[in-house]
Amino acid sequence: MQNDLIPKDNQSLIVRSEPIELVLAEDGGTRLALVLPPFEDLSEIGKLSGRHFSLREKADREWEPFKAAFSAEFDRLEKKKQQFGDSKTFVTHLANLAELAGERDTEYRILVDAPHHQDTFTKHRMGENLQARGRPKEAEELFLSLDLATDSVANLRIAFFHAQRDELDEAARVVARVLSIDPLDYGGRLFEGALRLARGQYQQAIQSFRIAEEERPTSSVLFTNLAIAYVCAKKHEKALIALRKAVALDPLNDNAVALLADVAHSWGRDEDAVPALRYFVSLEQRLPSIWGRLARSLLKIGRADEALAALRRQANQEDTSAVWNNIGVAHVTIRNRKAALSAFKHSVTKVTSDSISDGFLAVRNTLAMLIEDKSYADAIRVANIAIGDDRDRLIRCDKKLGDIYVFLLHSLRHSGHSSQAASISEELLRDEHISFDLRIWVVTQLLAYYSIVPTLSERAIVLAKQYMNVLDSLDDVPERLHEGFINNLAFAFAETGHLDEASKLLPYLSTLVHQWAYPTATLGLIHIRKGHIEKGAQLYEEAIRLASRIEDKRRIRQKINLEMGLHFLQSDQRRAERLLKKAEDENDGSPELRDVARSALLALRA
Amino acid sequence: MALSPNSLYLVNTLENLPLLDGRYAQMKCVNVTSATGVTRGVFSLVFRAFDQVDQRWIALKFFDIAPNKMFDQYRVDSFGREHSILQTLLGVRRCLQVASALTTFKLEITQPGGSPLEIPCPYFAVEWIDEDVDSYFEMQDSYDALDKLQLFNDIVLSVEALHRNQVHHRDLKKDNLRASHERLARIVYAIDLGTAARIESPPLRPDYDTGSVGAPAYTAAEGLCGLAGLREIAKFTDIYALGCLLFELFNRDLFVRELLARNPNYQPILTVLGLTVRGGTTPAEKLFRWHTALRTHGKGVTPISILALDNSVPVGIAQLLDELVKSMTRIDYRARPNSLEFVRRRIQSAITCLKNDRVYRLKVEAAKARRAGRIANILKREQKLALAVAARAQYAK
Repeated sequence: MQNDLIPKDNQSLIVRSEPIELVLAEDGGTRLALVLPPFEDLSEIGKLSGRHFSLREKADREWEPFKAAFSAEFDRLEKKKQQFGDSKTFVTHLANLAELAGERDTEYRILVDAPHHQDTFTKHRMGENLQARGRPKEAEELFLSLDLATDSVANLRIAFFHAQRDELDEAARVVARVLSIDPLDYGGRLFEGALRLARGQYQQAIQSFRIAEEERPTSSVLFTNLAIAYVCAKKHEKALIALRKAVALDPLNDNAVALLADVAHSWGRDEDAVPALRYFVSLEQRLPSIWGRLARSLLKIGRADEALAALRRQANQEDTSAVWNNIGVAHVTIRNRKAALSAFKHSVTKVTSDSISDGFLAVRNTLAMLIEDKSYADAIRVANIAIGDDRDRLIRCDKKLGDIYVFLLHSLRHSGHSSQAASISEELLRDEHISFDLRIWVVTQLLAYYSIVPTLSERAIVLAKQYMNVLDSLDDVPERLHEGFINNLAFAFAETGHLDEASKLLPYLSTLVHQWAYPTATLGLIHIRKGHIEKGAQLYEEAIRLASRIEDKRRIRQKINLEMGLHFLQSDQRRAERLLKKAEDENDGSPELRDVARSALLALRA
Repeated sequence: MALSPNSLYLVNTLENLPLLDGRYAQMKCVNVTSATGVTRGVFSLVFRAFDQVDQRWIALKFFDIAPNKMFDQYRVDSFGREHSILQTLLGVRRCLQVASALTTFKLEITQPGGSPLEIPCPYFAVEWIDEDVDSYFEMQDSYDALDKLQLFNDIVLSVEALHRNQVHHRDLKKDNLRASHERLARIVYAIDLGTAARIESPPLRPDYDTGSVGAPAYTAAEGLCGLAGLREIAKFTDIYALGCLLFELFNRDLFVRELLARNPNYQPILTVLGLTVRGGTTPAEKLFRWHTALRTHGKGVTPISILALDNSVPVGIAQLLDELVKSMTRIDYRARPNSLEFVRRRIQSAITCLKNDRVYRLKVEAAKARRAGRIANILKREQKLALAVAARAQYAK
């Protein structure tokens, strides 16, 4: 049985999911974009503050003298009003210069006062101005007053207002009108693609973006949208290609860089995103989300020191529980356990009402370290505090946070409180809201415990039969747990003498035998229980060789000694006694197996 | 920029002076809108005056003696350089002609209770060209495409004349263009050579890291990013400005407005390019760094089409002018036309096309056919996808 199964000690990072921008229209002073769920959710559709350099801030500062120059140009041109005041071009130039000088109010005044302010072009500019100044209602009214049968610009703006109000059907109708006016309209195709994407028509969205690409092949925004469509259509390789192109076209497109990092990470291709992330932060250091992504990718590719530096930069800008948790994870990777523990501790102190789960994740990571150090008493204390604080029962309902319970149960067992662990486990199983992963962890552990305690073996069988039906729904649980669950199910049946049920599990078990220690040992048990002693013993020996941890080797050896001792009880009592004694005396062995060996020895000696 | 008290005193003195240097009378400052108004031009105060010796109107360019400019060596040197450039252009057709040597007027300032102080005010005279070309840009509706193209052709000819004489203007904009008529032909002049430079002359400033040359609305990226002093690429900066002017002859918007609207990230891109260039210590290194940075950041800059909203480009020459403007205003100067002769040839083709009804009709029809072909192709692709999606949905049932 595999009763020492705990989540892998790899620590969990928190990289805040950022909403992705699906850009509807990229031209003009006011960029129109819909905010989509973060990458993770998209996939679900288909499956040192002062020292930070900010390029955007610098760009704004460097643009200031130009603004002044445009303002001076404005003053000069305005002097020609008497000469050209009636001209549409003159008024437009004046308005342009006001806009470039950052004087949007002046621009509006000029446009409204223009003698030809009723002309379509001027109205477009007035509408854009109103929108840029945060007066969308007036802007929409103005665009609606234009000739929508022929005016694609006005239609596009109106479509955006509809999209903003979630009136996607209406927006689609307006965009269709744009494309009937001009099927080659770049803005129309971009918008059409975004709407199709929002409606789940991924192939059609890809086609819209492809047509738009013919009109403007240098748009980074377009390729980002295309990548989003590919992600939704589960074409991840193509999404990566589109994102690389988007980043190549504009290495400063944070939306594209962040999405590239997320897609590459989800595909285990973090190295693909690192150059883009590094380049981005070399120019723009004021986006904590990008620092976080860089750190995640660097940790993944084994550059922990660099990741730690990135996280420190992030922490300088957002002093949050999540960042400190990540710093702790980086310290764990570089084997600085003391610093890691203090970072996790600091993470917990940074918890706010919005980041409770981040704090629990830091607790989870702390527990992983304590258990590695075999500090079970501390682990129990920390886990109990966290569980006591969890009024909303986040821990038991969250896939990752559920590990806190797993570590608690593991620590209880190793501290001689197996029955307390079992009672907490039973309580968890009665709660139908716990996460599926936690449920499988708990069942796996209970099966191991119940099946080797003779008085509890009936409960083991009830539990095993109850959970037989989840065997085909284990795709999303961690591989380690998946294997452990199958193994313990087979073990429970074999140990309690239900060999037919155990044999039924052989197809599931067969892929694991000869690869992993416990499944190999379980097959050995089935053979022994069927009377194939030699074959069973061979498999146990193989299992001991396969086990990588010394504790596992001892436990498997304890079990084979127990099995063989019980087997020779009738035929060779001296040999049986010797083997049972070995099982009883096994250091670091299972206490339950020791009890069984002791009972058998007592019976033999009596 | 408001006039300084020094400059104001100079303007008032000269306007009230009956005769300067024994020949210039009726002086009137023309680049200051009112006595307390705004100056037009960076280095100089320009006066219209009557030259009694030659019996003609001339322009007198005085170095602006504003305290913040008087001791700026770059400005002082630029003023002297303008005169020397004009001297090299003496007798060159389509180039502004200098009408005097560089002279100094001594402006006397009497301080209360003190001795009189003399401020030296350098100046020189150039020919007066009365006609501006503003109306082609500011009142586009009054001119047809042929008028505009002919004007543009004349502008290109004037800049070409400068380039032929190894002079690059570096501040081409509509304000700096004048026209006069010789017999029946119009001749356009690029005036205000205050920022112009000869190809063999060394840069006046040791570096242009923090400054640009010329009006930002017409200055190419390299001019805004620390390469303004490099003579070998100054020609391309002029070509860029000409591309902007061609755009503005057929569009209501200014080129720079369209550029920023189509490229919302243009400012950060300029900043990156500037930062990269500034890391170089020699001109060659700066240029190398420019090309390297451009490879990363230049690809995403959308070229500006002359066929912007509400443009007045005739359909028959739309493609020709569109390609020309896009090529002249590329962010990478190496992708711009190498000579103005090429530009003129394209403009001449457009003019010929407009003048020749049959050729024009054929061009219009070809443009319409191209567009119809593309639309048909898109519709075909859409239908094909719709059928494929429908078939897949059917199969899924």
